[in-house]
Amino acid sequence: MRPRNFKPFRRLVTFLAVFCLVIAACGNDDDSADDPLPAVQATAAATAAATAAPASEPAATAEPAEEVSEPAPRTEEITIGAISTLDGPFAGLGDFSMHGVKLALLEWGGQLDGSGTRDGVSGASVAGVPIRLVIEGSDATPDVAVEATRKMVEQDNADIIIGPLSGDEGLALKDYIRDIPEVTLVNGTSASQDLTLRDPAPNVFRFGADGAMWSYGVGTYAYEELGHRRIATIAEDYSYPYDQVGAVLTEFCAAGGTVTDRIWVPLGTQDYSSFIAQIPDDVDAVFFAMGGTDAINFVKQYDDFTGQVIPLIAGPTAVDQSVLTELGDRAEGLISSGPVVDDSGLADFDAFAARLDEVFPGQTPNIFNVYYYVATKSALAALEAVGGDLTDGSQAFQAALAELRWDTPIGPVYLDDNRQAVVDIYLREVQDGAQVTIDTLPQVNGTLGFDRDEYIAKGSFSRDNPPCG
Amino acid sequence: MHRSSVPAASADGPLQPDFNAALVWGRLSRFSQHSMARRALGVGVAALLAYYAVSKSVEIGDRSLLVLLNGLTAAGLYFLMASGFTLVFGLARVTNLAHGGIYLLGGYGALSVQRTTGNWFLAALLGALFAGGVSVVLYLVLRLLRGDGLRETMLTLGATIVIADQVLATWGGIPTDLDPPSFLTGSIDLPGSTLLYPKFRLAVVALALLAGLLLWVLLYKTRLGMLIRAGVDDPEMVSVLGIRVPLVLASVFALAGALAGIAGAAGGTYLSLAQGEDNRILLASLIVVIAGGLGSLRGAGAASVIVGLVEAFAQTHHPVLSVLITFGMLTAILVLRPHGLMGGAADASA
Repeated sequence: MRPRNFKPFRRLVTFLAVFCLVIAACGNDDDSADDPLPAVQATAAATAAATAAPASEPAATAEPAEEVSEPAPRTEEITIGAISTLDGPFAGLGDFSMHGVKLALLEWGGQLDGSGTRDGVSGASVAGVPIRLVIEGSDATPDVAVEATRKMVEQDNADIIIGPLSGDEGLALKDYIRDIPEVTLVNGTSASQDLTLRDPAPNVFRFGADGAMWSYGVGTYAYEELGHRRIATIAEDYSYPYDQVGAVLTEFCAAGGTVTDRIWVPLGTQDYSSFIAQIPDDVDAVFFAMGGTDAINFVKQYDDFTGQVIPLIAGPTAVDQSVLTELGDRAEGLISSGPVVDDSGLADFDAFAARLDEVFPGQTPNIFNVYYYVATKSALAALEAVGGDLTDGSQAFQAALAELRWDTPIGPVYLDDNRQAVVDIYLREVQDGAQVTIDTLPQVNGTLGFDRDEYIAKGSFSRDNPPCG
Repeated sequence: MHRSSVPAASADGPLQPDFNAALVWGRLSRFSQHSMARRALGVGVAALLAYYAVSKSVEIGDRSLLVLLNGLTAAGLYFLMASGFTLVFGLARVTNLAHGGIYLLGGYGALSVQRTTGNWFLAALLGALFAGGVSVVLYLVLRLLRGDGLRETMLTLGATIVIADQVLATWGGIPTDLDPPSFLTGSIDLPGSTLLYPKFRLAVVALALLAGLLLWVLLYKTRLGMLIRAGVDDPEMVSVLGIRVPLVLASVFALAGALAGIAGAAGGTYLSLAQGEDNRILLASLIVVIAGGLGSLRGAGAASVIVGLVEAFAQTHHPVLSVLITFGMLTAILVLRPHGLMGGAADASA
């Protein structure tokens, strides 16, 4: 029997190698495998492409274009490429973001092609120029995001990219899009500071806050109002949570507080029990910064293990409206800062919420649908301002974007010199499954109110930056 | 391992002045082939590691109990996954990478049942049946490629992607979970300390033990088990004897699927159900299966406990290095025993 046993081992090595490779590449596989576009529509698209002017339509092969069926003979068409995480752990959040994109296009005369996430919007036009929507998905990894964007830029001739969703994807896309000045990236919800703060790209615009800005105010509040003096932090081990923890500690330590432990958890940890066991008994509160599944797993297990004897303070996305339902009662009373509250009373917000529920029944506002809506609407408004003319290599359009000021559903927005938004942030508390305002922190900027040079000189937030007694 | 072998090598004989890597390596490997020396080395290293673990555990006092229990509960879930995986590999020689997808289907199936009936046990049972059924379907498809290992594996990998997308389309991408049965909700006080421990996690350990016991009875006390063991040893001979091997194979796939389904229901209760969970659990169970020895059930049991405990220990004491430590341990096991803890000679008899 013995000799036979060599086989499994050799096989195993092969399998593992193959497996790792495929795991790394599987986001791409997904995209082509699960394209829900029916054959009929694909043929229609192909015919349309054949009859249309031979100008800018290299027949997309792997993924047929969403929709190319405007009846009128078109002069020029503007293509918007929307990218979000349609596969992988953040797939649900990807759905929300596309709702936001489509809502904005509906305001410019578009019509939904269908109820699916990848169904586009047809018939929208700005200043008489038809707008085409192309949708691509990533799995929240930077390389897949770059590939998907490259596909939209090179094959679909996208002029404007809306997205991406997650922090590291944003940094990767900034580097890619920087070399194509005529294409404009309007960020979705990527919240890495350095998308705009350090080494910004001239064609990258962010009409929302970054992770540090989202966490603004909660450190001071914890010290001044809640009377916390010693806290521990627990967060996922990558750039976006570094920003959240960094912003909270910057304020908390400046006020005089100390941090006992900074616990960093590998992204995508299922079982937090051993990390929870490290939280010391003698802290006043625990700040946690996680997203999606991780936040749900953590809060649930923290609750089971400790009964929340030591109160939690949440990061902005950990208690976003997109996960509040699943967090349930465990989230009641959690304090956080963030961009979206349910009781702001802003007329624009209530109108947005009503329209969202009307077009996508049952959906309520959260970071993702609001931010993608704001990004898309900003792009469309700037297009309107330049009469839909991108023939100058998008220069006028990008200038118009940089000058844009408007009242979004979550408050007024304008951009600084790095094309980073200055926005209102809300200090909030979870009550009855909704985010209720404690305080509105108006006009928070990318340097959290510090002097720019001084702030940048402190270096990017990391596992142990900022230092704190 | 190397770190500890170097001083041992110099004990074997003083280093030659004409120092030369090949010579040292040859000496080392000859040395390590000597069974007594190997044993002594192993005992030495184990003692050092044990000393380190104990001293670290004393540092954190009664929290070590938490670490121990965390390791065991993780081991319980890993065993439920790994036992099925290893059975399928042992009998059908298929590396079933869709095992994680089946876990997810079992969990989501149970979720749907619980939402209609509110009963956790019924949910877990039906979820397991559902997962077992899917696993049998997978077997029927795999039969078309009988004997072509690489293509079989690619097919199971494809199945994972299909399953993940179907789950996304049916249940959506927002993470969710099952509610534990009411008498397992909440926590108990750990004796002799102020610490709490969730009841459901302890129940998972019991569930894994029960599954292990039932598997043992099935494999060693029933005719089907006899056939399975015979099939593992010598599939050709078994089929020559007039036994319908496909039927045996199908039942093993069903069993493995059902175990993964139960694991899905349990994991979906104390962890959560979401896109991506399939890959995480698959990776964890792959580590367990490889460390234990592909095809060996006892190995899967032993390795799940070791992996669970090492992981819990590393996450507590060296959180940033925890992933590295888990894989480092796997590497160490494979260096010492290339077929895993109980692979090789053991799997022929188990």
